[in-house]
Amino acid sequence: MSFSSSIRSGLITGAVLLFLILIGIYGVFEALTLSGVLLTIQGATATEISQQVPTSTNPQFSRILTALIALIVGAVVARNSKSVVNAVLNAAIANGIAGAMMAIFLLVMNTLSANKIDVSFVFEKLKPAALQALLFNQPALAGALLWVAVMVGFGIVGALLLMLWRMLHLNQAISRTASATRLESDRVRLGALAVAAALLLIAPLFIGVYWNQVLGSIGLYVLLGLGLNIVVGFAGLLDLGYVGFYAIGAYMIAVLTAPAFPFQWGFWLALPLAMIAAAIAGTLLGIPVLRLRGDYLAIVTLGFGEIIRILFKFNPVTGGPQGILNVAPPTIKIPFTDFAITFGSSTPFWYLIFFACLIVAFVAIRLNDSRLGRSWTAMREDEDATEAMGVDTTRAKLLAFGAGAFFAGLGGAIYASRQQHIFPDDFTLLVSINALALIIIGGLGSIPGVIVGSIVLIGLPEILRPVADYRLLAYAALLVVMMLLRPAGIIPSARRRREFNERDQELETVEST
Amino acid sequence: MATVTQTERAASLQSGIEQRPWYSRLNWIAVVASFFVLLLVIRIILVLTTKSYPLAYWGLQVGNGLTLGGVYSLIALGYTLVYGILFMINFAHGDVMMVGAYAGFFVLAGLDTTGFTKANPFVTVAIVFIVGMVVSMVTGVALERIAYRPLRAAPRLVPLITAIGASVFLEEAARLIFGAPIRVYTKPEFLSGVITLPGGIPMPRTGAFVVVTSIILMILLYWLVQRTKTGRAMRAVATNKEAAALMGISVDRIIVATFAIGSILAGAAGVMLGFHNSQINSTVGFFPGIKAFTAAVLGGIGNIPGAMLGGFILGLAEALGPSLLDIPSQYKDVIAFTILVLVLIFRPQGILGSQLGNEKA
Repeated sequence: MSFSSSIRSGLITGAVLLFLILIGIYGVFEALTLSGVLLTIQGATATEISQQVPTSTNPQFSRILTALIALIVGAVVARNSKSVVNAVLNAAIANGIAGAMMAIFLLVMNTLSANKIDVSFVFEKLKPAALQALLFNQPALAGALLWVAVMVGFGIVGALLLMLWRMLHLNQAISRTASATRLESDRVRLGALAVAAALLLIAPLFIGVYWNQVLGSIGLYVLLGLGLNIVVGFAGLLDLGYVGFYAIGAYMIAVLTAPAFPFQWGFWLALPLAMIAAAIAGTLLGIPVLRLRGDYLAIVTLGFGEIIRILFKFNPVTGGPQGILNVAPPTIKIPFTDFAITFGSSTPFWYLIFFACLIVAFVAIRLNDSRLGRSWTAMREDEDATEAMGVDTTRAKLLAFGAGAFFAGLGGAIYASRQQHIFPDDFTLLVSINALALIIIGGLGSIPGVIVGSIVLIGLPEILRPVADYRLLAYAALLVVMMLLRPAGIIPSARRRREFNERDQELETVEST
Repeated sequence: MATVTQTERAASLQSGIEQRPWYSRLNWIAVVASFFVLLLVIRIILVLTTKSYPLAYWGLQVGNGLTLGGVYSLIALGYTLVYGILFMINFAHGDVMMVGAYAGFFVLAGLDTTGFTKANPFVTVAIVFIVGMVVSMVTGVALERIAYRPLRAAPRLVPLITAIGASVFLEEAARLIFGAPIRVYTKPEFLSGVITLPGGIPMPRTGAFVVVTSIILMILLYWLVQRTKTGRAMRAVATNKEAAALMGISVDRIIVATFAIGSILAGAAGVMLGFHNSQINSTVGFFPGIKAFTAAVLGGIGNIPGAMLGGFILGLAEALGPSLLDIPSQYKDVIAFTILVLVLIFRPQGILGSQLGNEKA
């Protein structure tokens, strides 16, 4: 019985813990209090929270985080152990190494700062006070030893818990009851969808401004994600300049409706034009990269997204860095009467976004099942073969680009009129990365995946607002981890799921022969 | 029966080619693009005839261009080396450079406070370079090991997305760990100031230093690839992985070596950029990364001399472009992108041609 895998796990855990400390997650968690989180959920602003919640911290969350990590690592390391003793030993070794790494690091840092060397010059988050808190506010050596003790202790507890759980479940073999018949599960799913839709329609009336705003943001990203999903998920063309089309839609609406320009059209008149402008831009961008494959596309589109932003930013016509103010909101007017609604608050915008999402989702589903959708899938899997089968890949690619950009233009237009002002720096690469991350994490090519992805990626950080600074880092890490562990996403599309299963089966047959 | 279907299919394919719609031949794109290039040329001629800058001005801009070009070339070499072997764009390459720039900065700041820099400025600069290069190398190799190696057999979109994730991750991690404010490289005395080249052309000393150092590094790289055993193995792996493996070359080790070499060059570029621009922050790798990729494509991706040439051409275009076209210098980022698109339209294999052929491009 060798412990090399435990040692490895220990080193990895230690490295991860070190990274967490260096990026200052611990500090953030220390400032986090339960009442603060609860207030955030109720929609309080940051200043309100800081007034109501005393800042003197009892670093409960960071301690819990450490304990939780130790527990999980202990359980994971012990999962292949045959006996309790072995499990405990494995957990102790892994967590001991991780704890020792932390202890040594903190001791070194503490000694350095005791000798008047400013550690926080290099590692910004390691201010002397933070170092003290990391050492449990104990003398250096005691604090370091406490780290090892806590890690090992909770690791062993984790291993024991796993063993206990196993003993309890060993006798009753996990019987896989056949899931409900297909028809029933379909019916259940339909019912759930109907309930969810009804909730989404009624809830905005009761949940207040803040959560309406959040719901709207989630909806906008669903819209963006659905459009990008057509390009990346269906057609397999990696488009990193998606924000460019979003920006074109937003600027088009702004120029056509804002009082600073001579047009001053209504929203509904300008909307189709904004979408068409975005679609044309998308098609034009597709042309130079058509003959080339995959990778170039990513860079060219990435450059394009940035260029669009630079052009808007340094162009006096579009207001330069100051952007465009007073974008007109949509109004609904019933003809021959005086009845008119101007979309003022975020609630009517939510309904607009909701229906836009429904329409786009419907179009996307229908597109995916259409002749064009099937040629996209074929193209994604093997372009040469698709072309040999007589599919016009040029046309398919341009249509994918155009369709994706069309929906991005819709999203941008709604965004501009909801914000009522746009700035060029609203349209950074960040938006593209957000949209890409949410469709990949949700599941490429899967429409429920897009929705789940944007709830997880856009909605969740609103609850944990103190951690918002780490949002992008977490997305990036999630992108890499998802690609490594579960490239099909949380809710894989049916087609992908089949493909991946087939691939696994192929691998199995290859391995068995 | 088989023969019948085959002839039928051949016939239908034939007619399919004839019936392809007009836009799929794409010649008109080249026509439009040529028209665009013509417009640019006319614009340049107009500007040159109406505005007259002194020779020293042009000399200064050429110097700036060569400086930028040196940096772009070094980064572009990393892209080209990795692309030549793995056929993937190491998106995070620019950020590997950024990490090197930070490492160099911290060593420089440490040596400054101890007074070591004052006493031995040359040694300091050498140490800063070595540290920047080593840290970049470690970052690049770790990236390969953690993020890219497990995905080597995956569909091409997968490692590309991973690389984008890695790029954002490095950028954000640097921002969170080292802090968002700009860090300022202090130049040792022998690098500050301006030298005057023959013809009264001023050139910042750091610029001259960057040009000379980057050329030396490129010569070293060329020697390494052409004359050493590792270099020969690298070329073998780039040509045919399976055959190279059968010849007893450890493909994994060569890939690691490729990442290491590319990252070392990026680290050197990062330190150079730090000395030349004085300012670094966590986003310092983003635009140079994209532009260096453009340079690699311009010269012919996978082609080592091509990357060097492409880097210098791009640097010159970016330094001279705003004056030649009489546009504000904020648009200089647009120039690189326009060049990339034009190259992809007219000569996707690059100026010197990629050594890879169509199936890999």
